Amino acid sequence: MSNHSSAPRSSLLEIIAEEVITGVMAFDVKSGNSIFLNRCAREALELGIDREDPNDTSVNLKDLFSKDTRLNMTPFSEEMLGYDGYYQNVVMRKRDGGALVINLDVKHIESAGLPDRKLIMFEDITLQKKLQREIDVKQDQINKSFAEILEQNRQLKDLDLAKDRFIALTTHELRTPLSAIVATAEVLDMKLYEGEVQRDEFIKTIYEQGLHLMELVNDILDFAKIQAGKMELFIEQFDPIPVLLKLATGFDHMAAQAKVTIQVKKSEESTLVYGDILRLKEVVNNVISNAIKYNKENGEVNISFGAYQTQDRRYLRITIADTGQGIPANKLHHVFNEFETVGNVSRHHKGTGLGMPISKRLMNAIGGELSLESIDGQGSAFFVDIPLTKVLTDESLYRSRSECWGDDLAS
Amino acid sequence: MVPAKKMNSQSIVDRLDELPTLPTIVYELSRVINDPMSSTSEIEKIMANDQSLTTKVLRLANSAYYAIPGGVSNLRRAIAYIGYDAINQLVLSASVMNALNAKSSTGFEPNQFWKHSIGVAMAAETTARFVQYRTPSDLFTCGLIHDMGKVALYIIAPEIFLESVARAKEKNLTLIDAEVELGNPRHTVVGRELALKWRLPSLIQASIAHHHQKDPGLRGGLSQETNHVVDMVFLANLLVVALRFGNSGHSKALGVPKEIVERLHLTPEKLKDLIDKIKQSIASAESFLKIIGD
Repeated sequence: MSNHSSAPRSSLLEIIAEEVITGVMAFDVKSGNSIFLNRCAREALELGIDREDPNDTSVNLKDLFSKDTRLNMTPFSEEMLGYDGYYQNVVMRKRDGGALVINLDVKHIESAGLPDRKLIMFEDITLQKKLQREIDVKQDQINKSFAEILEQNRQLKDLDLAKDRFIALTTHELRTPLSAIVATAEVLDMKLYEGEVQRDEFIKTIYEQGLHLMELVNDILDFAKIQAGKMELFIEQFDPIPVLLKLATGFDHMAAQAKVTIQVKKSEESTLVYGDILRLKEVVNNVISNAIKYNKENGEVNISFGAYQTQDRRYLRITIADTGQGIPANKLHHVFNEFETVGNVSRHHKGTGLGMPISKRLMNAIGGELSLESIDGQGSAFFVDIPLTKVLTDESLYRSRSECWGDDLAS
Repeated sequence: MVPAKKMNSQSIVDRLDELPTLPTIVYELSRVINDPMSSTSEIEKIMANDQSLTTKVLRLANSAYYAIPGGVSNLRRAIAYIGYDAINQLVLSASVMNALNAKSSTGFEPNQFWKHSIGVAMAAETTARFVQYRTPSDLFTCGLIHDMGKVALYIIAPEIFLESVARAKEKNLTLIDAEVELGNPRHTVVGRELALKWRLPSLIQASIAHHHQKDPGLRGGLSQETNHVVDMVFLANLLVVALRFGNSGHSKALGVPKEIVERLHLTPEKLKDLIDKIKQSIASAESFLKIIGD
């Protein structure tokens, strides 16, 4: 009996065999050629769709053997045919070389007067395997995403804690001058002073502490504004050198008092940068002021101008070097960290301690940078980098000033 | 130029060699994806050989059609969200559209044609999902290139094709009917030959050849599953033409044959529901078309 056409036969059993939704194949043991392949088997093995010979729907057992030994699958092989039984996750080779994954049942058939035959029944689980693969990939993605979220969560918690710490620190700082003011005012109120001179001194104390308090509050507000991205900037193109030269001369008095000399290395070129003039002056002011404050006696502050570039940006670099004590390497990152600096100012130097953190953030906000190098015991050099091109992603920040204003603010 | 009437189907088929072949990456990828035991890294390795194709696939995955929350920036993630088969469909679709590059002229507007085709692609996939076909993404490319015979004809023998288009317009026929009436090569036959030449999967071949044939008995002995797929492409095509989405060479909207709707087990309410879903899905067709056609 040979069935290689796709026309179903008339007997019920023959129809059942042809149409059942499991693959059914019968082979002649001696030659290995197929005797019967039902519709499901033909479709699974993709037989009969070859244009050249649409009636070629026979197959030999040898054609189905596979050598694929991946991923705990069993290749369909000669050995399997030796024992009747149920085999799972078997890979069979299709005509085009592709893989068919099945669970199958092998049965040896002996009938009187007929050659031995092998009966193979299988269910095609290729699609199942594909779906399992998709599930595995999705599961992997879920795990990755979850890990990412956990990490982001951790970072958010850290930020939150940082905010709390900042609030605690700064309010602590505010308390000191506030207490001094209240205490001194109490003394005045209760007339516990002796004489006008003392009274005037107490009044002066209140005034100075008040000023300090205001300075603190302003700095904290500035810092908060920058962090929140709400600082108002006026970024324009201008020549910073005359502005900064004038600024430097303003320090002559302070430098003389601290017995420090300021040297400015003039630059011949005139360069145009993009920045907020007011804020830039604030930053440079802060840096020079620190350079003088933290210097040795008879020390120097050297200011010079140069160029600096990174991979895709160009800057004007202002270097302010001092011959102060320098900063040890392990404390370098403290300089711009508000937690380390706030309140860490000795009475002698006053200030709020927030100057550097604010300056760094200001520079970043205008597309520039503030950095430093230092050698413990010898001194430090601060680098103020201002961009030569428009680098900010928010184009609306760039403005231009009408002529009549220009000179006033540049002075 | 050979006069219109002298060309017959066979000579057209011979001239299909004038069209470009599909890049080998299409076949490599298909083989790996159809292998149930392959991994995402094997796919990444193959795709790495064609950076612009990879970029295009990622952009398509990020389109409103797939609506992946947060978007994807690499293949692995894209596969996790839209599946191996969808990636295969995207690569296949982009490659076929690239190979069938045509210029517009009076009578045929490639942009409108592909708009119709993308519409059918999305409508077919939506239909497959609606009737819970086990691999809806298969229907995407089947729908997208069901009419590719038209573009092939237009490129190889524009006068013949445009003659058919003119006749369809003149007598308010569907293009296939005009082709039959004129004795011109049929776009279903030409398309099927091209699909064979390009060794496209049998589901796609069948969709191209029989998307106008509502009687499965006349489709040349296809399997149940293939007939099911052809039915869905048939329906999707009809609906997209009726919705006047894009232009595939004719504007005659036909009613939906009862037998198709019955075979797909669609009651009138379900059909209405399906049409709504199709309208939603083709809303993202324009942006999709822009990316894939780049």
